[in-house]
Amino acid sequence: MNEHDLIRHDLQADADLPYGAPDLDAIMRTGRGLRRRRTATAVSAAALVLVTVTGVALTIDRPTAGNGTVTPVADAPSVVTTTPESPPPTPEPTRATAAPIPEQNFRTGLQLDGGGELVMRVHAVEHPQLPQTRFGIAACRLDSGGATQVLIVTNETDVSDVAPGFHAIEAPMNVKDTLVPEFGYYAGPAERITGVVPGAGTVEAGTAVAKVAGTMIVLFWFDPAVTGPEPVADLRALDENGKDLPGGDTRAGRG
Amino acid sequence: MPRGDDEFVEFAQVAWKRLVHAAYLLTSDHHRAEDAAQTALARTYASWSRVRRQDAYAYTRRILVNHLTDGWRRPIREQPHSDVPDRPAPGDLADHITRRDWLVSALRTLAPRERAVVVLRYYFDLSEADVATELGISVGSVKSMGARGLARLRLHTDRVSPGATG
Repeated sequence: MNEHDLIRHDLQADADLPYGAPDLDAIMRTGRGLRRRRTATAVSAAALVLVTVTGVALTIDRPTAGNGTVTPVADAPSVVTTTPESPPPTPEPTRATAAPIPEQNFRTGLQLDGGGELVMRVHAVEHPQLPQTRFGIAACRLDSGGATQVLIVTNETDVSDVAPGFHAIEAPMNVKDTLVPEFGYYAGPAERITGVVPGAGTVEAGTAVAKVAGTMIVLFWFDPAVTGPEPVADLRALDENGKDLPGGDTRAGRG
Repeated sequence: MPRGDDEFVEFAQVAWKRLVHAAYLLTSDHHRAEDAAQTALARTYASWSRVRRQDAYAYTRRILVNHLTDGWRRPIREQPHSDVPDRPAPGDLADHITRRDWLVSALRTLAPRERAVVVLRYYFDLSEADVATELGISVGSVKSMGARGLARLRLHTDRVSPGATG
């Protein structure tokens, strides 16, 4: 055995290593957040050069739970498209519809700790690697001057964006000196969205309803003053009779 | 759980120990090693739909090494290595463990790039050309840094007879 073989032997002798198991939940939660952020960044970057004004914000179907009447924010609606980072290696399913998704903004009445009011936004997403995703959502800040600033954008990455259940949930996160609430959307006729916070019990999210691609979605957000910096547990969507609706992906991403 | 997630979980469980150990060889710090492996796997998962069709392990290894190499460029670098363990004598498992710890401490005497070259060459068994690609340097640099790294390790090595350990 020569010197190289001996070093190789010593370096590779790792059978008795004391390492624990990987924290797969944390790995996948972080990875999911990175994936959403990456997609959202691509969308935002493309939006700088490819914004097309197409129409006005849609109307709102009903008010939020506990946060007053929701009204559209009167800034310019837009549809954005993106260019692919690289072509997908294998053919992907075709999109269900090529109809553009107009931007919709919803005031929530929730004051952010970094100033301004939380606004929830629905916007178009077009990405070759996400053939089942036509729209995403964003948590924005509406300042006293009427300008909106995007804080976090997110979207579905694994299944159809309107599959019944929860989608694109982001855990509370500090962005631009603001603790952005946990938020996401539910595809389906949810009347209430609830979660459990240690020490506070069951809490109810604020909601706003939008119609996107012919499907009712319920945007939701939790008050970070109640939830703190951790995602709520036992996320549930309830119908008008208080019955549980399908959950889907209730895992919160971060980052 | 989606099928892709099942595949990723299986991949992560299989790759975990080797990734953490590689990171440990590069950092001499168990906690940093586990953090680095977690980070590399999270980034892999973020691109899993694309990576799963390629060489996922190579992709993750590249992220891991680059992640730690990026860290070396920052002001806080290697930890002090004044406490190099006594040189081990060949023998049983305890000797082997002592020897491995000693080897890791010896790795700490290498410059970061030399250390990365040694780990990629002798732990991951990559060719000089692959190491060059992985680190974004020339093959000539790989050869020279590898030679310097081995020379430094040699200074701390006192093998009684070839193959006597482990």
